[in-house]
Amino acid sequence: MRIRNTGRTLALLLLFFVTVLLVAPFLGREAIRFSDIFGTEGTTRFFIFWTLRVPRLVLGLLAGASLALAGLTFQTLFRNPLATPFTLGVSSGAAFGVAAAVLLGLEGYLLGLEVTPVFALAGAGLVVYILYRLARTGVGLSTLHLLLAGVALSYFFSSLLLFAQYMADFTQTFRMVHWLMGRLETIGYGPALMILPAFIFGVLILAANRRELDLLLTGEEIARSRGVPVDRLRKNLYLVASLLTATTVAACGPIGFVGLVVPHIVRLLLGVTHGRLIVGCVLLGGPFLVACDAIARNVVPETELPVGIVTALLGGPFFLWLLVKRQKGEA
Amino acid sequence: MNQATRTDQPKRMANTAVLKVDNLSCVRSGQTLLDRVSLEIGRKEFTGLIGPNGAGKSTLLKHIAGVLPVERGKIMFGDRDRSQMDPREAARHVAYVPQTREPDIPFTVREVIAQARYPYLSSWRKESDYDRRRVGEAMETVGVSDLSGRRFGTLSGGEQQKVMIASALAQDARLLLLDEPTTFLDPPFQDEIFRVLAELRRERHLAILVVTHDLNRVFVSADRVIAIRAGQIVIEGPPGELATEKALEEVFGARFQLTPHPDSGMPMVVPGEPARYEGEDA
Repeated sequence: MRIRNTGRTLALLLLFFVTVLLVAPFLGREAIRFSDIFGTEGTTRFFIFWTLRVPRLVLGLLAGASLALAGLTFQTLFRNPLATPFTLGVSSGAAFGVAAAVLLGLEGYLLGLEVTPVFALAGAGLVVYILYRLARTGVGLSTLHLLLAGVALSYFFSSLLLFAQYMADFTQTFRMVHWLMGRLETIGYGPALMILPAFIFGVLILAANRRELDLLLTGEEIARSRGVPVDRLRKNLYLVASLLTATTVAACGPIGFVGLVVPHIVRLLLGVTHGRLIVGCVLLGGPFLVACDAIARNVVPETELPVGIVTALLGGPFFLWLLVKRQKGEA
Repeated sequence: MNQATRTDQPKRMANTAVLKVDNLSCVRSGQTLLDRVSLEIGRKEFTGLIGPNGAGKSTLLKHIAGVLPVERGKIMFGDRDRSQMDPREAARHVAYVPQTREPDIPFTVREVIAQARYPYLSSWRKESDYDRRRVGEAMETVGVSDLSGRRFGTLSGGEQQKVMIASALAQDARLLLLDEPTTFLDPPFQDEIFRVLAELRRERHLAILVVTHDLNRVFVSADRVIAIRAGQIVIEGPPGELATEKALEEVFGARFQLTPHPDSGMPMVVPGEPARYEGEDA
């Protein structure tokens, strides 16, 4: 049944992808007509479309796909369906970095670089590095230590963030909280370009290791006996998923739920082998986030909601519906 | 590359051992699990590995299978040293059916078996027709073709075990290691598993090394029995030599009651009357 429907499901995913791609940039407070995008350069609508909307679309596609892939990788690495890109505290580290930047008054641009993402990336990188050192064994990484130490670090940096918020004044606190909600606002392609290399690298590494990921899920002993270098694989997976998470969080803030729910939706739609899951996460993760963002921008008049609120509000019920439907179908 | 290994193996293997373990030792957190173990497994040989709990049987198997790294001693496949081989290359020589499985393997039967082609596939290549054929043949040989599309987790314990054996078979190795393959299975499935193993040896010419507590089964099926205790091989020989009260007491440190098999006359272990152990009059 699953095999018979694969072609149709893939076609539907592609259709969703293309639809979102074509529709999302036209939606927003300023309605854009098709003729505007080929209009004269310098008009407001031309500027909105090409400098705000399209870069935002590209950022959303890259961020959604990266979060979905990171979530998928952590779920397989830990054999835990509840793992998300943020389970190990990468986002807490990034948030602390941002809070530090806000407290130090280091916002805006420094030496031509936007400061906030750099601090976010540094905070995330710090967590990734500490965890790597803590979980390292003689030959590989202990996933148990990784998970436990990651959760502990996550709480630690969350507390540091609370401390920073307590010490900050009202506007500083607002900026920290606003960052925490996650958003895709962008002027130009800067943030998207920050994610792009990590995304390409991540997709290639994961696709090249799709069979190893399958075997890891079948069992560590079996994987080793079939010739999978499990220790090296775990290290690489941890680093790749962390890289995907860190760059995305630095560019967009911690947008929740995409990384948890998209891999599960893809599993229900396409099956569980990682070759399919990776394709599905790229095809669905991006458009899912962009669609949520389009809704977030348009649902409340005269304001734009942070996209992080919509991902969970929309994705949660949809996921539950799919889960219940699937359960009834298999019973 | 695959073709080459497969074609030159039969003639080289004419009389050499498929597996040679040389002075293998294993010490974990101060405890000696294996103490200078040496053994050889010949082509087409069916070997039973017996011994009390904690003797090191599974540890030995895991070293041969590449699940545990060899730290002291040597493991040779033919004339090649395992530690000099790429893990994938080693996996073309030996396949392994572990004692326990993850409870939540999400794949279908066919997917699990197809994963065993991993040692022959590179990152960017798809499974070839040859790979698919080997998977189909493995399913047929073990008799799990009907289960092909079923989700592994929905199978019974016996069916799961057969699928794991089929996947080991699809790995195309000369040596098959099995760790207590019949534990948790009902008697007909136990028969079935050993029937399949005997067939694999006879028709596929596989060497088989099986860890089991089912002594009678070993005495009936195996060409050779290796008994291990406290990390050392204590007795090694044809079943007849092990199937004695004296030998078994040496291995397990307990007394056994034996009685001849009605067909072959091979001594079989029978459970004693409970009264015997309670000190009552029989």
